[in-house]
Amino acid sequence: MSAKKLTQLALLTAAALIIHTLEALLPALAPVPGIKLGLANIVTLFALYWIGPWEAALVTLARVLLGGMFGGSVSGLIYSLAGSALSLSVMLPLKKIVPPGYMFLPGILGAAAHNLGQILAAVAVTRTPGLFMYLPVLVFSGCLAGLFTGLAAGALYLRLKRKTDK
Amino acid sequence: MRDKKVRLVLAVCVLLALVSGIWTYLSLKPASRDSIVITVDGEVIYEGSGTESEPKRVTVKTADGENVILIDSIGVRVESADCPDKSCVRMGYLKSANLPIVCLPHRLVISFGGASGELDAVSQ
Repeated sequence: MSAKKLTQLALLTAAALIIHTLEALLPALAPVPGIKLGLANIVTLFALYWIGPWEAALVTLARVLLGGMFGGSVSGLIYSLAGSALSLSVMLPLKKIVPPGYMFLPGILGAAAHNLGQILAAVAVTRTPGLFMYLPVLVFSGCLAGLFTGLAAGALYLRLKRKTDK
Repeated sequence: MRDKKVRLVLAVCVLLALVSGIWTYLSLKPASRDSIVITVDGEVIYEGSGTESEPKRVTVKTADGENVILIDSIGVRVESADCPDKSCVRMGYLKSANLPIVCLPHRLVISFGGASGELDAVSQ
């Protein structure tokens, strides 16, 4: 890995961690566990399109692990990890068919997959299949949040592209 | 060719949002069931009436922490918890049969019992 790439990834990870930590300070959007904006996903989506799939996965993994430590809730880590893994496995292949201008599409599907992963982990941990009842609520909130983060990442990408192409 | 695939992905997104949105709307309908079940780790630790004329507190202690559950004339809610996120407390009273109160860090679930048989059958 070149020094330039390493620096790039470190910066992206730092940015993602800051967003992650700041978002945790905001009051919860809805009184249902698992519903959040997931703003740090902007960085994952951006890294996916700007650099590449493996780099995006690396940045996300580093952010989730460090974010879990900084957030002080290690028990929450398993949900974030499960969600991120599923989300990445949906978003990474989508890059091949979806152009940057439509980045909100992998954003939506990735967020929905994130919530599915969280539910699967929660069902496994609590051994309560009834938690699947949360799936529609979480998927719906994921669609909205993913649309938002996807649009943000897309705008960032196109703007940076225009600047660097000049 | 590429456009066709993008349109397909877009259709999947719209469909997903629509289905989950409608399903959410339907599942948020409040339910009134007269019995509640509290489980930890999938095991039933308390079964009882969903309302109590005299406020009744159930304290659930696990190795991970403690939740105080209040059952009163309105219904059941988590009064306090020592978990970091407190989302179980913020959920307020148990309203819907489809949205049990959960405390993920303590693996605690509070749901309506009785007719929501699927949940019971699995946890027993």
